[in-house]
Amino acid sequence: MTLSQPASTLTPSVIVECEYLVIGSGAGGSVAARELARAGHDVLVLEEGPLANTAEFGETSLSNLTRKLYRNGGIQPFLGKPTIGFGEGSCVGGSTVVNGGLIWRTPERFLDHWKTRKQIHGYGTDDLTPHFEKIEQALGVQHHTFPDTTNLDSQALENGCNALGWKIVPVPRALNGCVQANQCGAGCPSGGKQSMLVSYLPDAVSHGARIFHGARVTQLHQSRGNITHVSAQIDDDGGTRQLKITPRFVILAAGAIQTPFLIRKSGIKSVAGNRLEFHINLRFAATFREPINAQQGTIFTTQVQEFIDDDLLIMATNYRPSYVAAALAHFDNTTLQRFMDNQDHGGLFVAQVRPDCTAQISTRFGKNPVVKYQLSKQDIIKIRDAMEKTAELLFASGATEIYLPIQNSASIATLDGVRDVVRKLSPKALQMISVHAMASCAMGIEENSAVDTNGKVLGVDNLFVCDASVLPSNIGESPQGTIMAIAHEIIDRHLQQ
Amino acid sequence: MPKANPQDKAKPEFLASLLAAMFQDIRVATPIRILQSATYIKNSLDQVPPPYRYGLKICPLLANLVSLVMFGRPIQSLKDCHVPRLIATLQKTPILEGYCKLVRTLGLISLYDTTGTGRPS
Repeated sequence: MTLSQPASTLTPSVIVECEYLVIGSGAGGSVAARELARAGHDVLVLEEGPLANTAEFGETSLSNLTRKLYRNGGIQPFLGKPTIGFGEGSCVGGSTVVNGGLIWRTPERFLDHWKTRKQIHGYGTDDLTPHFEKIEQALGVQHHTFPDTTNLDSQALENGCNALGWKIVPVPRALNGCVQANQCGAGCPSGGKQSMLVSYLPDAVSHGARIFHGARVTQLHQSRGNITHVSAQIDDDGGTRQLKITPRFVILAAGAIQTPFLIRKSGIKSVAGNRLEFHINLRFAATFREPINAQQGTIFTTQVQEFIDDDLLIMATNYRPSYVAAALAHFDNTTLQRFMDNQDHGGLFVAQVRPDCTAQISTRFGKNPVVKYQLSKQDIIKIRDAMEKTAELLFASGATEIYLPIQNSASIATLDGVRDVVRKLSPKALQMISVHAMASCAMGIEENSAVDTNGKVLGVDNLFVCDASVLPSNIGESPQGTIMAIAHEIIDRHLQQ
Repeated sequence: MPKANPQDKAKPEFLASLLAAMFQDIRVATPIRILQSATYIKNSLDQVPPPYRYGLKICPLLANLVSLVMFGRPIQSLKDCHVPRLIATLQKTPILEGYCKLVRTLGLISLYDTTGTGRPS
């Protein structure tokens, strides 16, 4: 059975009817599609991006996969000082196709915060645990086991943490036969990573859901508190064509940027997208005394959580020559070549920071959102601290040279040297990326919330949001598990009504 | 210099010359790989949505410079253009710095590219 059909096979002159229209096929949309289809409902999923398959992930170059699987080919800036490159999957399966398959349960401190500070009930540990158990079983979530000769970059961090007395934990991943191709960010070539492409979506289709890719929803049409129909655009060899869908219910799951953009663009809620929360990733390259052959492994198997309450996580990341080159693009050619000449001694690492600042999504520039942000003074302190702690750990792990994510810096061989550079750094010189955005339509009980605690858009009876947008706040961890658990809760509540 | 025309597309040949200047010291940067990189960059930039392109209209001179990099006016226009100097000019302009980094990052990804099996692309 084919998972998804090109949207161009739908006849544009005919109005497409369905009971449920799910917009987006990522972590949230896939849960909605699967659960609604399993409950016997008529489900149509529209995905803007293309369909790719596991075989293709092994045969295609990383750069071409990046261009195919990511929104705008991976070129999506958060404008500010400095500009942050934001990576978001745009394909059948969404970002789950290009992430590390990490399924963390929501940290307790945020669940408590939602309940006590935001008065959001029904999303506590007791409420979400059954959903997490269901997700973990469906995706085969496990702590990664691997031969001692692989993932030496993660093992080096573990050694460093042991020397420093820092907390490091194994990571829970959605796996079924990972072959350690070290390509999580560009589609898993073995199908071992249990993305939505190989798990929830095929299950949804087996229960009758229909998935069409290559269709961008452009407008939600509202009348008297109901979405009456939805317009979508199909670009194919025949040019641009319009599609009209008349669903009974709309489940919006287009991600933390596109979902609020569509709500605002459709004139439904002007508050949507006013506060987008996100993580900042600082990438470090390091050279070690002994070869660590970091390419032999997976994205990472352990995560440093010593500073999780200070909004900092440290881990290794995918190591392939092109990833290294991208991470070191701000260095001159000589420095880059020197690192490449000694590749088997090198590793790539990430410090993930949860900033205090938020971003804003603008709808004023045509058919695409523009995202702007500004670091706060506290964020600069957090970033400096993250750099120093990461460097301290890397040196304790056996690194002899560290390459910082700072424009025009050189490789540094001592912790004092790092501290000196970090102390003087200008925020504009930072090299930052982000792959986690959330809480842009945070559910809430206030009248000015975009979405209520049932995931329903306030003032519209048949429109629900079911993706990272509705998280009440930034959770400081990879959000896929939380997105899926909340999506399960929202769909359960809807089906019970 | 020609006026910026956002409708024009980047030409791989132009980008190849730009990349050759940017990557001339890197050993993997063979002519074929540079042309592959340029094609990749061109295809990637084609996906950049208009807001970011139009946002580059800062002033006529800079717009022209950016147009040369981003949209590749006919290569004949560049006969008298010193590519390394063009890059240096762009890199000293803060608002455009990100786009220069982007071109370099994309080029590097492609230069060091491999397939999922680890073979060179």
